Order: sequence, then C-alpha cells, then structure tokens
Amino acid sequence: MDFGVIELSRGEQLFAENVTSLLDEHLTDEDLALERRRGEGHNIRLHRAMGERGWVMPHWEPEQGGAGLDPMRRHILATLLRRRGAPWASRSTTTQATQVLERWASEELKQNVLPGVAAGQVCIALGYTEPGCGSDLAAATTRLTLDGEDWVVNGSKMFTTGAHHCQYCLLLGRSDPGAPKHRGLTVVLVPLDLPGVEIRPIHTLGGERTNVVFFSGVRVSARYQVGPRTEGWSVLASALDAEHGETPDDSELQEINGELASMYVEALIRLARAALSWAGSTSGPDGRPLAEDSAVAVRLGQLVLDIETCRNTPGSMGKILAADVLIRHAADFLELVGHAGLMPEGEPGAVQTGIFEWTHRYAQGTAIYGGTTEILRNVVATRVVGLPRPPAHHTVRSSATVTG
Amino acid sequence: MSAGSGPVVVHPILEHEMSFTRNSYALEATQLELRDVFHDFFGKHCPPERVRAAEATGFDNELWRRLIGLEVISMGLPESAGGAGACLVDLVIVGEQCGRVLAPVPFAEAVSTARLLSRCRSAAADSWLASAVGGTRIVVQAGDSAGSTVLVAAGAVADGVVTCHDGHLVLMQRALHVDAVRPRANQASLPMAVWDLDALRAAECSAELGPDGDRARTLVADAQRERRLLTAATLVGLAAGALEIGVAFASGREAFGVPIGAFQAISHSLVDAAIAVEGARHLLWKTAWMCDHDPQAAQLWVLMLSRQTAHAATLAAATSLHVHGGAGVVMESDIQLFFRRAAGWATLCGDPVADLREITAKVLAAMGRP
Repeated sequence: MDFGVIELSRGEQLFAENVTSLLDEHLTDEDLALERRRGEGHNIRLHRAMGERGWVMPHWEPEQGGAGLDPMRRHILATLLRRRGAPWASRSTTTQATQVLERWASEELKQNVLPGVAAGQVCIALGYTEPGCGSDLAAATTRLTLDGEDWVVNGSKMFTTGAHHCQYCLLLGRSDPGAPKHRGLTVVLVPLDLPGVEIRPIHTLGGERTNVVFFSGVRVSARYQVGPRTEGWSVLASALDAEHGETPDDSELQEINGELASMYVEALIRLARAALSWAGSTSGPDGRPLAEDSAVAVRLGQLVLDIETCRNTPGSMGKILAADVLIRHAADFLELVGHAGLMPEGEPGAVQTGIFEWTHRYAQGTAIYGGTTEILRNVVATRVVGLPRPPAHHTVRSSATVTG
Repeated sequence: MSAGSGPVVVHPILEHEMSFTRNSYALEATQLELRDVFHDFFGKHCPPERVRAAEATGFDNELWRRLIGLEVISMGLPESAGGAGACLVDLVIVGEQCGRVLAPVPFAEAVSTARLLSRCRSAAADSWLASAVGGTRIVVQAGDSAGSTVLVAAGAVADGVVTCHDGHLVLMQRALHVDAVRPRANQASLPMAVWDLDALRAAECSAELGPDGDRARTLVADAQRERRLLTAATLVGLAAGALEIGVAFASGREAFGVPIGAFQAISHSLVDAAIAVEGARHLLWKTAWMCDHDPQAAQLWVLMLSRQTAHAATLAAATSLHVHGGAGVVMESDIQLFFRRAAGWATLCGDPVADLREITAKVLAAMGRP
C-alpha cells in the first residue's frame, strides 16, 4: 500500500517538462476556450504533435509508431493531459477501436490503419448506438449486405462522436438478420470518406458536438471486416469491458475507476475549486464570507468529501458514483450561487468564468455516456455484488453500452 | 516510503499540476493473512446468537478474553513497549472483521487508548497499560472533561477513563466504594455509562499520567484520531456484513417467480449500498496509511472517512433491512441488530456538521484563504 508523493527522477522531470511544453504550445487558452464553445472533443494540432512523439500510443514500441514509454512516463503523460483539460473524446474512441483491431483485425488491415493511428493522422469513431438502440446495443439494425467482396452498409448510427474529423468508423451492423439477435452481427471498419456517408452535427446540452451518420449504399471492401462474420458481439465485448474500466493495471499509479470516472472527478475538482473560491470571496447578508456560513460550509465539505470518495471507489462503481455526485453537486451549487451563476463564460459578470453554468449542463451526460448508470448498476449487481440475473424475458445477456 | 520521509499527499483539490502520487491499495501477504485469521476467528466465536446474548450489557467477556489471548491490545503497541509494532493499516484490517460480526467488545476504544498510554512514559501509564494488555482492566478515553459528568460509549465496562483535565492527562479510576459509574440503556446496545467525574475527583480516584499542556493536548488529539479511525474500521465491517445479509436474502427470497434480487428496484438499491461500502473500505485503507505516515495531514482524511463510513454503514443497514420486507423489522431478524448499531457507532465517529465544516476550513486554509 502506498499513496505517497513520487519524487521524479531527473529523466522523468525532463519528460514532464516536455509534456507541459507540448501542451503550452498546442493547447493554448484560446484552444481550450474554443473547445468549451464548440465541444469538438478533439484538437487536431495537439493530436498530430503527440503522434510525432509517439505519444498517441505511448505503450507501443517505436517501430510501431509508439514511444515505448514506461508506466511512470505514461502516467505523467495521461495525468498532465487530463489536468490541462485536453480534449479526449476522439483519443478515447480511437484507443478503444484500436484495441479491437489489435485483437481481431487481419494483419493486412492492421498494417493499413495502425501506423496512421500511432502517427496521430488517423482517428476512429465508434458506430455502435443507433437512433433506435443504445443500451440494447445488440438490437442494432444497420444492415450489412454482402455483395461480391464488398459489404454494403445501409442505416444510421447515432452519437457517432468525432465522425466529422475521424477517418474511420468502427461499425456494428446486422449481417445475418435471420440469425438470433446476438449471433447476427458483424463489425466492419468503415472509411468515412466513402460515397454514401452523410454526417450531420448534433449539439448537446453539455456543449459537446456529436453526430448522426447516415449510410446509404456505402460499399466497403470485405477486407475491412473485423473479426468473423456473425461474431460482432464477441468482437466488441472486450472493448465494452475496457470502457467500463475493468482493464487491469498493476502499475500502482493509475486511478482505480477508469478513464471516464477520472474525467468526471476532474470536473468535480474544478467545480470544487470554483465553489471554494466563490464562497471565500463572496459576502453574505451579514457581511461575512459565505464560506463561514454553516449551511454553505457543510455543502462545500460534502463536495470535498465526495471527490475523495469517488477517487477511492473502484471500477464501474466509481463511474456510477462520480456521475451521480457530479449531477447532484452541479445542480446544488448553481442553485446556491443564484441567478448570476446562470451567465456563461464570456458574459460580463459571469461567476467564476461560468464554471457553475457549464458544469450544470455538462453533468447530465456523464450518467449516460460510456454506459448509462442503470446499465452499469445491472452489470455491477450480477458481476460484482453477486445478485441473481433479471428474469429471462428481460435478460440482458451482456453489458450493452454506448460511447456516444 | 517510510514515515516522515517526504511530502505526503494532499487532497486532489490542492494538488499541484506537477505532483504525482502512487495509488496502490495492495495489501501485504501478512495483512491478507491477518484478515483471514480474524475473519475465521470472529466467524467461529461471534455468531449472531452471542451478539443477541450480550444485548443488555453490550459486552461479551468471554469473547474479550479470547481477543486478549490473541494479543489484540499489544498488537498495536510499539516493540519498545513490548508490542508487535503493528501499523494502523494492520489494525483497521482487524477492526473491519470485528465490526463485520458486531462483536460486543470495545475494540476501537481499548486499542487506541492503549497506544495513548504507551506514549505517556510514566509509571502510572505503564502500570495501567500492563493491565490492559493482560486483560485484567479495560481503559478507554473520553477526551476533554471540563464538565462534572461525561457519557462514555464504553463506560459500563471500563475500569479507567483517560481524560484531559486542567491541561493534565489524567486517568479516572472506577472504584467499588464510589457510586460514579451509571450504565445507560441505548438503542445500539453500547456498554454506555455516565461517569461522574466530580465524584471520582472528590474521592481522589484519579492518576496523573504525566503529560501536560501541549503534549497532553497532542496525545489526546492523536488518540481521538486513532479511535475514530478504528471505529470507522468497525463501521466498514458492519456495512459489509449488513450488505452480505441483504444480498443473501434477495438471492433466496422469491416473488413473482424469481428471486427478488433480480428486480432492479432491489438490485439497484443494494448496488448503491455496495458502492458506498467499497468506497468506504478503500478510503479506510488510505486514511490508515496516511495516519501511519503523516498524522497531521491525515486529520483531513479522518474527517472525510468518518462521514463516509457513517454514511455507508447506515445506508447498507437500512437498505438491507428494507429488502427483507416485514422479516427485517421483527426483533428476531439479525439485520435489525446491524441497523441499530450502524446508527450507534456512527455517532461515535464524529459530528456531521462539525466535521464537514472543519473539512471546508482546512481546504480553504490550504488554498490560502481564511
């Protein structure tokens, strides 16, 4: 057991400085403000600069386009990116898709795609959710019809975040409609510049930009198929588990509840800093700082406590908790701050640069992306707590989730 | 990383961008063994029937004898005082197993007070410590005692209560000829009693333990921190035990053709309790580690831990009781034993308003604001 501060070696210190230099150069305040306004989830310049250093796939060897970083340097890189608020949606979907490709794609397809991924030139969006299915992912209806040596794609995918700047979409489609639900699916990596692909933007409450993608007779070579035909569900299973934060790590450095939960905790930390700063510098009706008011101090203390509790809650449980805690505190503090807190960043007089305003809108999606908290509770119930499975006619055979 | 060898963690809100910390919750092999030994011991020697049998007094003398025999008091004393030098992480591991079966013994009180006595360096303290280790006397603490009486959670079974009086560390001694200890019935079956300090002072039933002034205050603060930490450990155990009962019931009890735990209303409520318990346990380990490595910095974590373990235990017990339906509210149910003690032990873990205010004050002070 060890929670101590690490004294970086000289080499590690230099590495950390290199990372911050990269961020100072390619993730300026303007970039961050633009991201908050547009919610693209990706910074192309930063991503390519990372790719040049092998930092997109830092655990890969240099021959494969990675940087061969040891766990400590990987931890430094990931932590600094997170603390700086570097856009991560497309990095995340690309990493998840890459894990699937590494495991299931043909050597030819891997050679075709992975070097570009490592170089930061190629990003991959996830084509799982559809207008008609999200949590029940195995109900996907986007059709894959084999015509000669091509798969023809017809249908639509929803919340395909990053599709507008990604090169590919990892698509789950129904190739065998006559087969049982979970046995009629195939995964195909679809180049998004093919004829018949139409991408339309969708803007969310949290200020994120995602997409709906329409596929009309899109013809994809079967060489882009990933894993065996009809085995699409198994192909995605490991990726979905990774999304739930179940991937093991024995570096003793990582947070224990996965990437998404860590992001939510980061949002909680920003909210807390703003709330403490606001309460410490704003006077109540009696002229004393609000932070000295018992009711306010108790609410602030609960937020501080909840942050540490989230960090200490493992796996999917941590993600469920962080989402629920963020939603609750975002609403509570916006209410506490009052109507001045409604003004967004950029508006004259916006409180704490609009953090309360933003967090309140952002928080709701955290209980949905990467698996709704209800689905995650179902998974935790059976896999962690050991409760019996739901009745047969409602059975969810595995953890169907969406990334959005 | 050894104690006091470098900077210890700060709360994430206060973390500097270039600060990196380890995040290892791994237990040593010896600690896993310790957990298993005490899990088996309590499973064998403290079934629910023993807890019920001890409801009136809140104390099981035979169980306490056995624990003394397992050196539960000397375990946490430094080797220089004849102890095994166990760290607080070791002690919370034992504490969790103790709480899991609702063991009617003053574990947190006695262990933390023994550690306090071992730091006094006086003949009186050493004499009482020897009795405590041997099991011939039980010594607990009661913090500041400006008043004439004090309600002591383990007061009904204590032979001595350590207090800080007029800046001196003093041990008030129970005496047969002085009517100064009055047990009080309570919902949680704690061995609670009022100690009449004025009567004991008048009868000169007290022993100076040596330390005074700042040293006395520091020792008392340390001892209270450790008592809260060990109480939190028992609360984590209680929470886990309560949850286990609820899950077992929901897995067996059928309604509408299936085990009721298959329905989301039930399963989700138990999952939320499990989430609270897992977080509480990990926070318990981290807090114990911090108390071992930097007690000053650890105070913030002890406050957070107190709130989280109180929450986890009361949530797990209440949820589990509710899942039982009518079977949960009858006195024959085991879960109501957990329910009453969850609330009871939580009251010994600090005060919610004061704790949350202190958490805020500490973080604001560290942020450079008053």
